[in-house]
Amino acid sequence: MNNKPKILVVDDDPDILSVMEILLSMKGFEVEVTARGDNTFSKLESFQPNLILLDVLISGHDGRAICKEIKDEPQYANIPVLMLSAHPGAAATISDYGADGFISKPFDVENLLKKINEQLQGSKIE
Amino acid sequence: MRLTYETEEPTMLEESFLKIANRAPVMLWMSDTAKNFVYFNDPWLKFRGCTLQEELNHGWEQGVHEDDLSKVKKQFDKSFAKKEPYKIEYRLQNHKGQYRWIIDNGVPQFSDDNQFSGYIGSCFDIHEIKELEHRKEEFITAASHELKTPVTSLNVYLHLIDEYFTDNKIEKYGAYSKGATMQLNKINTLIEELLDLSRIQSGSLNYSWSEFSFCDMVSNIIEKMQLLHPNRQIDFSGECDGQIRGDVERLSQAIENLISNALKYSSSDNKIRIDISEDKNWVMLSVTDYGIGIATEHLSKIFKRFYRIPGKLEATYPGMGMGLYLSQKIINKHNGSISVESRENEYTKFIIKIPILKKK
Repeated sequence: MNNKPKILVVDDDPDILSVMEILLSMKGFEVEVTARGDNTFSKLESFQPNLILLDVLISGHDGRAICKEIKDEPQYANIPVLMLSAHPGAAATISDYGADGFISKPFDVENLLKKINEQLQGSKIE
Repeated sequence: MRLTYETEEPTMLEESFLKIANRAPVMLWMSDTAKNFVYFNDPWLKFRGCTLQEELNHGWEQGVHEDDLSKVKKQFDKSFAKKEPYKIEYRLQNHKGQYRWIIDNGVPQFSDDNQFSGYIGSCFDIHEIKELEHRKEEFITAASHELKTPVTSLNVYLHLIDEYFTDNKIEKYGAYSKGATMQLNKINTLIEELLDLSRIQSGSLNYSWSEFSFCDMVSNIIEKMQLLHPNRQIDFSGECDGQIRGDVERLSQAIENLISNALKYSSSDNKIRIDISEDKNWVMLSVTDYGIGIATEHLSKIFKRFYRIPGKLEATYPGMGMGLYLSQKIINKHNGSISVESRENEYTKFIIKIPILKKK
């Protein structure tokens, strides 16, 4: 049985995806990545993540709108969504879309892992 | 000079002045003491595609872009009240119906016996310059953003390498990877500064306002700077209990800039001093170093964007001339002020003042 927490990473940059896959796998998570905003929902269905890391701007898609769609869908609404962006100013714009947290790029690795674990623990308590 | 030349024959002298005014490659206007616009020269009328009658008094305001009109009126009221010269940029509609950015320089006029007689303004079309500026800012934003992605990946890889060295107790290489991470942080700070700069230019630098203790903020900054520079002596003295309203991150950034400069421009065996104090209305902070100092002729220019003091010695210090510009902009946004005192090869002291919201 595999009890690793599952994280879905949505980011249009392949370098970020590969480094996230390496990092999060090393840190004991099961990771699935996608560079396309439009297949987030099919990934949600097939992978059933415990947490989503979602970039604010994904080529052709607004990550915030995707976040809102996830939060509007009752079966996925409880999955914590952490949004990432290289624009620190984006932090102020995400709360209306139901995101559970914001991480500015480049991020401190310890801080990223801390936020992920906080969210995972928080969602277990619920 | 009379301006009612439509009803009276102008004198010869007036005629030559009118000729100059109408042939000069600049748009001119004139107002009376009651803020009525009483004259526009030919280049203005040609630009606008209007007659003098249509533009007189407040007719010209129809041509100002609706998003700029209140700003223009406010500036005019403010300058008129103080009878001071002013410069303002706004969009004005030309004869083709296109809005063009112009810069308007208004100067108050006084008669021989010092009676205020209105304003004269000269305007230039700066649309191309504005567009280039805009493109440059877009470029800086895009370039900074593109630079951040590799920095993000590199940072994670370095973290993993560092962990490997630490876990396997390979201390020497652990120090190398930590050094690489520190350099990467420097690159990231530079990228952030470039981004801030373009945000300031486009008026989109965001501030998140809150109330906090000035003294606590300064203590945190010093603690952080001391950690980053363990071999430098940073003396901190003074007390204050004033609460201020501001963006704690931005204000810290401004003060950290000053401290970094103090450390940079003084030798490593010299201490730097940070003093805080307060009076009824202001909290004050000064950062003093005993380094190379700044010659008097440069003191007024150091807050300009990209300004770097010329000179053989100065050129050996790294930097891009963004820090003080950003610090000043941030402090001004807090309704505060920044000033500098210096003597070459002796000391430099930066002083900032921020208004107190209330005492603790």
